[in-house]
Amino acid sequence: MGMAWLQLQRIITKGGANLISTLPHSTPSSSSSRFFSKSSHYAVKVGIPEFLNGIGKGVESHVPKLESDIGDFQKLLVTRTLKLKKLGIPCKHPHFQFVTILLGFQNQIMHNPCLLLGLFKILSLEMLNAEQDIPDEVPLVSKPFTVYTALSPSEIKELIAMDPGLANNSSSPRPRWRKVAYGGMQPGYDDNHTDESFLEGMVMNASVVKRDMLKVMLDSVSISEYLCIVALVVLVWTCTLTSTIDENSLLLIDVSLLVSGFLILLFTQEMLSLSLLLHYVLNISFFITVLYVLAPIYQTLTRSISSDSIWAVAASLLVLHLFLHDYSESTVKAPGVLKNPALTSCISVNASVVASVFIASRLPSRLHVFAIMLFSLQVFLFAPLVTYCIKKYSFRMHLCFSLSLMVMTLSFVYMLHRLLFVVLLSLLVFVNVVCPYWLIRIQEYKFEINGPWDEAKLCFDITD
Amino acid sequence: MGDVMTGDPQKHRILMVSDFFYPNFGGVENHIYYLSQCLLKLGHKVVVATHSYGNRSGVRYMTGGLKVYYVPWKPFVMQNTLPTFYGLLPIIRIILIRERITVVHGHQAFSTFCHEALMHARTMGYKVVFTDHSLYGFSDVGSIHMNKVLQFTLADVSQAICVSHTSKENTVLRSGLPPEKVFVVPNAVDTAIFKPAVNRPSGPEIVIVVISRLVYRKGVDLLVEVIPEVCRLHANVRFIIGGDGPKRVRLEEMREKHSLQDRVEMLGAVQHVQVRSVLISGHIFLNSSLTEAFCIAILEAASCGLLTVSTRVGGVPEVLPDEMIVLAEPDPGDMVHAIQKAISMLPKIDPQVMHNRMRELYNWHDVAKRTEIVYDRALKCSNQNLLERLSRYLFCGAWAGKLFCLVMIVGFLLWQLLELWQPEDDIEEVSDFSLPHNCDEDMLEENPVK
Repeated sequence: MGMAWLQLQRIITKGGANLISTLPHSTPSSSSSRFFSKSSHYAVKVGIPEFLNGIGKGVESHVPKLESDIGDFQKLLVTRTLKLKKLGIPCKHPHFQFVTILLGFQNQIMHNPCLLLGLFKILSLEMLNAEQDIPDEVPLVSKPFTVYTALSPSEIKELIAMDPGLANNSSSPRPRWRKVAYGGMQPGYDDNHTDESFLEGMVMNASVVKRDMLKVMLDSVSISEYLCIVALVVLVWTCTLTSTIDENSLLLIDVSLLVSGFLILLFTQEMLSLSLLLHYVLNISFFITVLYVLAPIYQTLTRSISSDSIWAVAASLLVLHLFLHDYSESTVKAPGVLKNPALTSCISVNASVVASVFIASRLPSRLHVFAIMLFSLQVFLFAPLVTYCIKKYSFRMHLCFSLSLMVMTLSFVYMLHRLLFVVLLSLLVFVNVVCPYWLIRIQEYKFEINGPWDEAKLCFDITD
Repeated sequence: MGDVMTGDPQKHRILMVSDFFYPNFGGVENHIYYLSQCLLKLGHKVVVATHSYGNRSGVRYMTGGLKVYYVPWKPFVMQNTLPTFYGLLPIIRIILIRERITVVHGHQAFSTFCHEALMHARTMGYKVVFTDHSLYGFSDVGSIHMNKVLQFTLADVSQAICVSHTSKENTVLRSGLPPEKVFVVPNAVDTAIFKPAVNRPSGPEIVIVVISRLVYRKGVDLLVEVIPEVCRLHANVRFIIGGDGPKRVRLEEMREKHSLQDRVEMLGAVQHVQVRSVLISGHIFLNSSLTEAFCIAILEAASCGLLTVSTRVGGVPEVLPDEMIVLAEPDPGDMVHAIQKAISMLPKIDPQVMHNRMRELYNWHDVAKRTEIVYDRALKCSNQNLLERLSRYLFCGAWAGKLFCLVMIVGFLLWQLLELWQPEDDIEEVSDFSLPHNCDEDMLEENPVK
């Protein structure tokens, strides 16, 4: 090894003596300095085609072949340097790195005499400012050059023959690893070989959407809107239970809600057909009649249960209702909507109906029961539909409606109880400000992995 | 390979554990059976442990002296045993000691029997190898659960094996194992069984064969779209569909709707012994799977000299060289296109040439030799005490890590208890016997014992 090193030094210094300097490095248009930038020592990436074009004299015609054989030139240089380092050859000396290039190309030299010529040219590039302390990994080509005479072919062959280990290693190149399962173990590679292409097909966070804080906040308004609606229902319940509202005014509220709800539906749906109207009226009247007939049953249904249990159950049912409610669309189908509601939203509606039955059973008269049931059912069943229609019709209107509803609810609650007011207000702030912010913050932890192992998705609908 | 195999080649005593073994049938069962046979031929001792199938319980011997323990443990769903964590510890311990096992090799990620046995084997300090035969995504709840279980099993496994490079990528991602510990050893095909027909079906008719379970994951819905279109474009194409499953109704509906009764033949469930006879009646094999770690069906078809058309999913592109397979995206239009391309390629295909090629490409003996290297590596792994192993489990997750540690500690204590109750010296070791070599010379040519 030491012998080889001395020999190399001798050859290179000899080469360096026969300076012909055909390409002064100061000429900006010179073909070599065009590619080997002077300014950035580390960042320049020199590909094989550029490198060979820079040499000229017919070597360019071998660009495609060489490129496919060698791949990334930069990488080649670095690996060769590292390899020499491993062999114990000091590569600090700038001269030596030229030999590194040569060794990198030797396989091609053997097969192609024309390339040999080009490679002598490469070899004869000598670094001008031969600083002694260049970092090992810096490829030489990113330094300014001048051209020196070449070594003779016999000298190069001699050079390669000096180090049999090195020559053998690169004269029988390993076949490229292929990502295939057939043909047994791939020669030169163990079964646990992990190629550079490992996990190449992995795609991370492909379907992640970047969310906008304002948009999330506006979207969360529908949640607080519904929270307010439920709070208002609870308010009416308490007022009825404490007899602040009598049954007649309750019935008045029912009728006005019914009419206004109808009007909103009709205006937003944009189809004021008489048959549809008649259909609605018929259904509603049937519904009201049944409710009226059943009112006595509701009144006595849970009489044997103590009031404390009723409050507790009603409160938990309402929480369940709010938790499972489908805030994105309405549970009751708007005309023309095909999709059936999910199981959770059905449970949610049922919870609210049961809660209103429980509350109704604590009321003094049949008319009370009828009025409060009608009110609760109207709100729980149709308020989501009405708000959904408003939202679909105009988002601005939806915002105005929600804001006014919030203000109204907050003021009513303020009149009723201070602490409840604080609780409701903080809940609304939490839903509208804290949660959107939270969602945006935890978005960065989102980590989705897709790849060739995923089950393929069918690109058509399966019609059973 | 060189440095591993230097010196006297070591003979291993291997215990294969999985829920899936004969008389059940499938890719994993096949893999275990052929691998065991070839390892036996290489001079290792192989014992298989699986749960009992019906009244088949206790110890059985199969071809070549392969010993199978059918542990009396009832499967509860899809041939999987109920996860009991420690229920199997006593019997696994006794098998390990009786048979003087050196390496425990588990198969298939959703076999609870395998996971439990591997856990106990590790508690007892055995070297453990795991083969993953399937692919999992990362999105749905089932996969997330499976991935955690796999992480638990693989946290302390000596070496892992995958059947394709795609499967390796998947396993490394799912379990967080270092990639150097995961080997790729593919399946193989018994080319002696799957020979092409002596007289290839001739005439103008082209027969396309489909053999798979008729379920969603095998892409039956794709077939429903593709078959009428191909039949419309080529008047001389006929389909033979073998297999059964919930999606069979869809195919029959399609056949009625397009009145293709005379051109689409539905065979129903096909016994494995009949697969060859179905395959050789066709020219093209069609695989429409939506996910596949490694498709043995394709190998069987190619070995019978059929040109394969397949969806480009999972490990399928790695399985065959390009000239033996036409790949298509899992999309009806592209698949019809691929089938047309295959039909145009058909005159150039010689089944016998293809069969000979497959003989070179796939061989169970080669698989066994490569697995042997993995065993050698596993035995070279250093022994670790309980504390070192616990620290590995702790890294598996904030909650899961502590849970895994707890499970391992309880397992360790139970093992110590068993050691006191029934000391190792009291357990009788099984004496080895070797079959005369000539009696199972052409064992691989025969069908497995039913």
